Amino acid sequence: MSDLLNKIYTGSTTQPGNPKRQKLIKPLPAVSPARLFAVEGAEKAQLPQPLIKTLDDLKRNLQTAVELEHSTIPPYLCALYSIKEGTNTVASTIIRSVVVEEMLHMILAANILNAIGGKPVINQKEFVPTYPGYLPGSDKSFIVGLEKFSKESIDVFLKIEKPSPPLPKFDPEQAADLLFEDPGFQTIGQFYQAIMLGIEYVNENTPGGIFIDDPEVHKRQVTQEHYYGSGGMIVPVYSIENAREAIEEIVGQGEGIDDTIDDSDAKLFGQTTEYAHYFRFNELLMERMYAEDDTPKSGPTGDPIVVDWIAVHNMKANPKVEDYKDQPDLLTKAKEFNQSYTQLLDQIHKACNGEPEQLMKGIALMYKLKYLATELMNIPLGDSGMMAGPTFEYEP
Amino acid sequence: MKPEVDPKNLFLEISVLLTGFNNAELYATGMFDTYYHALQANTGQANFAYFFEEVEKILLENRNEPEKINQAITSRLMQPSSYNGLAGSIITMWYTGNWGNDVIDGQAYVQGLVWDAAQTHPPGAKQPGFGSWSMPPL
Repeated sequence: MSDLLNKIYTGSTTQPGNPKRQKLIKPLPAVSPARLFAVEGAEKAQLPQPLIKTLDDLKRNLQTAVELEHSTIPPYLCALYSIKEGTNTVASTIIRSVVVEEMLHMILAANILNAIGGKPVINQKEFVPTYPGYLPGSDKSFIVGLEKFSKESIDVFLKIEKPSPPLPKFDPEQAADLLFEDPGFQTIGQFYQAIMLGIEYVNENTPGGIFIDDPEVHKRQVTQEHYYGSGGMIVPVYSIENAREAIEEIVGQGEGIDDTIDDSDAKLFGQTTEYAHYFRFNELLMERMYAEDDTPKSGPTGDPIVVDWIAVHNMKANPKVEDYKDQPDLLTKAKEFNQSYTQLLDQIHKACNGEPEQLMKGIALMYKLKYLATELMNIPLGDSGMMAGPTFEYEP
Repeated sequence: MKPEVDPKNLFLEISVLLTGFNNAELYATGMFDTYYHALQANTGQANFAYFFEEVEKILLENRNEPEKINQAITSRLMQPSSYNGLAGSIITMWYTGNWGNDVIDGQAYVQGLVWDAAQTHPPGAKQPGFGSWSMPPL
């Protein structure tokens, strides 16, 4: 059994669709472990049941996935926009590169949800996370907040992008515990593993499959022509193969092979490789680039990165509009930000619900949000010595 | 006589009155400290002190009477002969990022209030996004 699984789980260190992109998670199994155990002749009664067993479960979890991807964006943007103009070029570039990929992931999750007849909900108050708070679907082991660029915030970002623990040694019972019965997920990678296994399971157990072959449903896909500004490949999802490709794109960009990452001697780095988020953030924290012969175990040993931890607006952590009530002009600006943010969510909602061309219209709003956020970070919060910042609250 | 209030606070207050932008909008440019230093560097010590002494008087005498404050500013600060035209220079500084013909700072062009006042954006900076010209204004 392990031979078969090992064949599936090991392979090249770059992604199949893009030889430049580091593939940091083992490829998702082409078939669920349940199928593999069956192949090995196990009794069907002993097979573990996936956590996600029904189409409704699957839709619910994919909605959570959309929420999860979105929930990482405001924290990353606060760190990015707190960096003072003209300083920390490398840090800004790294954080920005991660943010655009999180945006892509959000749309990819919505594409999968649409492909199976779901309707992503993005323009509701409940969609907007409360900061500080836990990531949607997580095991609540760490808190994420809206904070300025600092070693502490980058440390939280590393936790967000932390690699999955390795799949246990393909022991059905352990696999059952880890993949199918956990009440929350330790890592984003685990969460998507569970979703992928759920897709396989529900698809197999639904006559005709769950991917709807209907032009009206196909029209709900966001495709490359609607998507501006890179951050990777948009994958329109019409089939289980597309869904797998989309999930590999999400997970591959995010995190590491598994939690043996710190000990791994794999040579993953080089000029032509696009590193996963975890390593990009780690370069910042270590203030050093990865060099060609580095391994996760060695850590980055390449050229130093100049990180100026001081050239940062002293944004108050996790601000709320409530904090600004004594400064009416500031309050107006903060509300303007929130209105634009809410408008943007509305545009993205429309884009993911049958009007994909709406996504382009969101671009002007994204720029507006950027300028408003940097403006807010220049406004002192009374005599506190702290600065205001965007609060990312729902304001229809 | 030295002004009672920190001239930096007076600079903020008078800038709000001279430019028509509120203090959050002025801070939002990120230029407040830079402009304050430029003002100090380009103004004789005596003129600087007399100007802010006058500003303080105008503000105190007309507290909560915006009409009267505006009248006082027009008659006592805005004449080209008043304080070497300092009030006019402050307006020019906020709107264009220049002191006279000199650019104060690399950010000054981008952050000039002139763009907001004209409801446009500084060409080559602060772009509104690809394709945005095809859409009605937000």
